[in-house]
Amino acid sequence: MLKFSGIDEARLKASWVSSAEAPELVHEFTSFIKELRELGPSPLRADYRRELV
Amino acid sequence: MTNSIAEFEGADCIFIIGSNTTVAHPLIATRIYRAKKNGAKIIVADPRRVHISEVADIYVQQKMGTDVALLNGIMNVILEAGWHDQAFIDERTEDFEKFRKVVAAFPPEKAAEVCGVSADDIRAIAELYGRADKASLVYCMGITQHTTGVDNVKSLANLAMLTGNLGKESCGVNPLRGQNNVQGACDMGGLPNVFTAYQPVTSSAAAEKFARAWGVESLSTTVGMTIPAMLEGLAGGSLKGMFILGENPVVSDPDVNHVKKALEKAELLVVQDIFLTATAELADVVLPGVSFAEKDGTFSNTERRVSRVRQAVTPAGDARQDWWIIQEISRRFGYAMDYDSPQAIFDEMTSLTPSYGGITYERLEGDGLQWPCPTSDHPGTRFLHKDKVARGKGLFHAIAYQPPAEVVDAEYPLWLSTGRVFAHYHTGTMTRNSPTLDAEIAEGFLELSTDDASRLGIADGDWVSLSSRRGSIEVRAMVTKRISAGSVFMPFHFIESCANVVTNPAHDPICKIPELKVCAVRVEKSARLS
Amino acid sequence: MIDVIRDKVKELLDSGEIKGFLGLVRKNGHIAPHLFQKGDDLGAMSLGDDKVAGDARYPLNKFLINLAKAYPEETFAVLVRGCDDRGLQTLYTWNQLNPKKVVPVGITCPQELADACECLKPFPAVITAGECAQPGTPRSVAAVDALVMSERFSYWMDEFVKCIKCYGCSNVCPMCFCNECTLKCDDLVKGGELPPEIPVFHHTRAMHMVGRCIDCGLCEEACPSNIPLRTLYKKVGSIMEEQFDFTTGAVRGQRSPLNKIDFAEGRK
Ligand code: SF4
Ligand code: SF4
Repeated sequence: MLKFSGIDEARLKASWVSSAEAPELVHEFTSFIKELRELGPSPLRADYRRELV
Repeated sequence: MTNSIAEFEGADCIFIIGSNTTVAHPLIATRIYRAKKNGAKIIVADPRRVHISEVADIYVQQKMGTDVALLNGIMNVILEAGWHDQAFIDERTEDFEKFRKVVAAFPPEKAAEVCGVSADDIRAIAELYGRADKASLVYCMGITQHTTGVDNVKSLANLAMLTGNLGKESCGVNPLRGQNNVQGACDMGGLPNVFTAYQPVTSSAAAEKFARAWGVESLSTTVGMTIPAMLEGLAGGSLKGMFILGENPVVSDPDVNHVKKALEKAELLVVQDIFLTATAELADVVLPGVSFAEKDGTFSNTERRVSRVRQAVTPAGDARQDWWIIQEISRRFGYAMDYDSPQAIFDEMTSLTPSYGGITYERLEGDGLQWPCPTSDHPGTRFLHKDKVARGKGLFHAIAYQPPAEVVDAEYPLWLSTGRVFAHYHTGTMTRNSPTLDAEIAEGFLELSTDDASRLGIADGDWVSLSSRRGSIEVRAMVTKRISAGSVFMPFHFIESCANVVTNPAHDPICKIPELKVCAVRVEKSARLS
Repeated sequence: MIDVIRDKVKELLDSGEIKGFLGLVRKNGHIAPHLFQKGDDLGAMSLGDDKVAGDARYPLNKFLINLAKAYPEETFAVLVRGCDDRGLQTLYTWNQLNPKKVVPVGITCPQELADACECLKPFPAVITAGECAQPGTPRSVAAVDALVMSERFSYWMDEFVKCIKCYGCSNVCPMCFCNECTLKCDDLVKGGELPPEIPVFHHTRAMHMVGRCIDCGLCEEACPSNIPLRTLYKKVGSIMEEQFDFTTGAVRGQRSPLNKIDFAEGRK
């Protein structure tokens, strides 16, 4: 759906992490944040409409 | 509206000024969206970046109360560039010369100084509108609710006539009338100076005609009182009582503190409504009327279309049909009205009203009819002034810019405008009783520009106090880029933070409409905790 | 076609098999939903074609749910097209209607409507009257797929920004039957804004159309902002087809695979 709407799929990530796997969770977050940084700002943020409110 | 709603779809250019179209008239916005898809250029001019501006090809943010300056600037460019329609002007209008002189002396640079829209933008608007084959004007209360309301409307009429955009399909001057039946209320003579369909009460012929129909010797030919005059009368003691139907002036009228004081002085106040409004709470007698779903009759909408409304549910509790209440009161006063249905009243009305003369309940089945519809074989009128302007010749008015009645100063440094939000209608008598709509927007707010907010040390959601020469209220701030620095905006639906405590009751000298769209205010951070 | 339907409805009413027939009536110059009961004049009945075929359709199944709630013991007949039939199957599956209490009266759609709807099955399973048209050819989804990413984004944002948050799309939807609506949850879609937060508002609704949308197109017809909602939900449907081989409403009792996962895990 994201792709259909012109939004890079890489901006959404779903991973299965158990409550017992804290390091996994941290890893998922840090790596995803890194990936997002590389992608640059979201088109949704750049959109002037959001800045109105 | 001179033209019809569906005709917007065929326009080449639509110029929207002083109308928050998607919020207040969403189904007109539908047609504008479709026009855009069909290739029309959309121009929006509004001191607030209203939602419809999202689809605009040109959006400009004029300063509040400077519409005449903006329009004169646009017309100056059109004249200079020769985009005006000389043939139309020669054949169908008069008094062009006087008008031309005023506009010629108002170049876009001068307009820009007054209205804050750049001369280039003014030129761009003039080009889009002036060169379009079919250009349509849309306006609403942002144009009319000013001390210069009549001037503003006449300027728009000037613009349409100048470019020959009158009396043709998909053109014209199109005021969007409120709700479903404001047009109908005016058509039925719900104004102090006219009988039905604008037949003047001062005309002895009209007065005689109505006197004969109602079986009385004569009717007064004196113009009645406007709302401001009535309130003055109550305050001064010359008026003793008031009967208010379906209005809530304690929330909707300017300077409500003054309104309340005036109403409290009335010896008898009767209010007829469907809910116990703030105004009804002040009343000596409250009469329960009926809602749209509980009544039979007709509505006349903004495009002059008369259509039937049919009772869908039985009136709640002790509520009575509005026409029945009026009839009973009249009977007890000694004049026995004797209608047995809304249809009987309608039939009498059409027999006395030339522009409704050809309309019957039978003919209203389906899509209804647009007046003027003078005879029973007349198909109704989609757009006015075809071939010939209704009054004979279209009259140009030479109009010079005048500032609003109250301008900002050191004490009250900000401009305030009031308006609507999508979830509510007017004083919220109906919409604030709807859980879904109330959940959307439950309380009032003050839109404040990001610049002013940081200057005043106000954050989004903070309580602020808003004051004018009339009074002061507390309300939460909404910090936004929708509005420019120096201006603030507030919806007037909410009695808890009632915008009309601060608005200015100064009114247009001709039509008496109050200047709800601009006054000078001060905003301060409130002591109240957020 | 309408005479066959009239005869059928008369027969059902006369036999006492049904309490009423939920269909359409032409009245006061408009076409509107109507419950025909025994002895009623069936002459004013309409099949929902006003100026062009199928331009006066209503979510009859949605009204049927209310009727069934108010009169749980009674059986009602209802006018169904192909999409309404898909709707009925899904509503049975979700226990919103009891198939034992519903008698579908099926009509087919003409080719022009099937083409306009890009409808894959323009007729119900049981046909009371009419000839089956060929499935329409899908176009609208492919037209968006043909755009490059940035164009797609501005295409949809330019459409979504026109939204006036009237909830027309969900109010008209015959498959919107939740008691609480996500679109009205302030944490997901902040209230009071116009346009509502985009694309979140429209994507949220699209996600909720998974296993629900039966592609009747009433949402797009109702939308006063002319947003191509049907294209969006058609995409949802085609993803379900491609990934899970699932067509909403094709088989009674078949729940959306996304719900099935829940059952398999025993988490309900
Ligand atoms: S989607 Fe259109 S063509 Fe298909 S059954 Fe429904 S109305 Fe008929
Ligand atoms: S019907 Fe259209 S305008 Fe109304 S809420 Fe749905 S998408 Fe928005």
